Amino acid sequence: MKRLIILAIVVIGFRALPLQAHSVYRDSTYSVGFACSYAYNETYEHYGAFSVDADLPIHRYFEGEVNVRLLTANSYDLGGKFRPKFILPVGELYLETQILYNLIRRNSLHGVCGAFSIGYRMDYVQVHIGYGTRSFWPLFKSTHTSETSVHEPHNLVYYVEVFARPHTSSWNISACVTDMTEYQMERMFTPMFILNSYVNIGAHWRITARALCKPVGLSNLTPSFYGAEVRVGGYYRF
Amino acid sequence: MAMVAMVFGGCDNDSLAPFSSKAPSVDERFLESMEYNNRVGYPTLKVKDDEYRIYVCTDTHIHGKGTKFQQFIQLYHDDRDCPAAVHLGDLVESSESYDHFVDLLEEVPASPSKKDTMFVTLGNHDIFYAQWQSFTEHWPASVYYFVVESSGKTKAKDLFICLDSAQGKIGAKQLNWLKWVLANSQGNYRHVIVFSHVNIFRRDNTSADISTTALEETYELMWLFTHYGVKQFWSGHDHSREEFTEGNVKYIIVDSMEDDNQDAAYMILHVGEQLNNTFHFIGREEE
Repeated sequence: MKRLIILAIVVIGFRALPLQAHSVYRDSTYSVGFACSYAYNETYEHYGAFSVDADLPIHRYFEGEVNVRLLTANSYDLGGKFRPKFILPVGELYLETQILYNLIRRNSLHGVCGAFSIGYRMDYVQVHIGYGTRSFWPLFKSTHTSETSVHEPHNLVYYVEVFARPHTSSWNISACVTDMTEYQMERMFTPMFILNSYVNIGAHWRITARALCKPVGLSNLTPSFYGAEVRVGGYYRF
Repeated sequence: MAMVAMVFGGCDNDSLAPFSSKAPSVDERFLESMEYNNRVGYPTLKVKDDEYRIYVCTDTHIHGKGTKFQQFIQLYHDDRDCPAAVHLGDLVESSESYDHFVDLLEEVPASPSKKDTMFVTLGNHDIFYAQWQSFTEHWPASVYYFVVESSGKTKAKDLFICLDSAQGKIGAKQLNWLKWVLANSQGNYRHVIVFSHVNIFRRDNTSADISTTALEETYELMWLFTHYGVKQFWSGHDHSREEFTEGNVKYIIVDSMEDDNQDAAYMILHVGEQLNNTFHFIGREEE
């Protein structure tokens, strides 16, 4: 009975919110994107990556994303996001669930990360904060021991992005700090600093460019460069 | 400006210490260490028996007395079957000098019948305040290995490898060196043990801390250790003990040994045909 009451409150609450057909902060059309990256880090050294991403404005209350990345370093990532959203008088509130599967074939390891965040976005800023968890384990049973996986139970997930122009602009630049991208959930003490940009060409095409830097040792107060990535790509909006 | 210094490091502004580390980069420290190692060689300790003990401590953060640390020194000095002790880093706190740390070592008399050796690891606190030069005056290499060689029945040899992870990474050069050492160790040693300061992961978040190592490096090290038959990986940094075995490698985070840590402890590695780790509180009444 209690559960029915809670469900009723949620449904009524949904209906009461002044929801728009689609968010003004994301594209209202399905889009598919491809991108190529050149990257360096202290472990893999030089490597490249190819990614495919899809934006899915599934429903007026929900949106989703699917992300796939293949690294020449013999590592592969598959991720998905599911995001219910609520239009507010100013900005938009959203809840984001992100699941990642990482196949680190070069190290015979694979793992799953999950994160749940609450976020807010408006014209010039997007932020979210939440909780993440990770498990990884060897690919082959022969190297298993009695304990079957490495589980890192608690991770703080955060994302702060500041835009130079409103989201409806035909081009934009933004700066972001986060420990979780579409492809990787890092430990909370290892943030990634990202510069994003895009420019719309015509009604359907968007060209994107991104530069990412990952330092380590920040929380140790002995920061140093660990890795960087430059990515360019294009989206086709249906 | 503090954020820029934190991101890229190497800022020379004194006012930003400890956010600005004046230490050379891990690659530069590695090259200095290799220059010394290639000139002087890697130490080999001789023991009479196939069975012996190594005493391990970490995170003493000496900034004054170091009472528990001196108790630890006395313990391993008094153990006739212990050829060496290992310190896993964060020897000192803040801008404390290593001269004081070495004075503490020398205040505790060494047993005359054996040569006592303490191998140290560079921790993040050990390079906060331009202490790298002071560190190298006492320990010229932060990346090295040592061998314990027995003249007992089996003439066993065990390899202990020290990695420098003071800045949260071991770096490309040190990683390649580690791969070379591990590849060349195959079939030559009874046991291979690797130790460093920063833990590469932590499963139990009771201390609300997780590793600060990049994920790619964590995965790569785990695979290297499993692939090359490393038996144990020791680390400190987290101040709270954890033991975990995965991929036939035992990962151990040792408790800190600060004077104001009520649960200060050290580890004894009992080396024989098998490896056995025991943990002992220090500074408590039962000690």
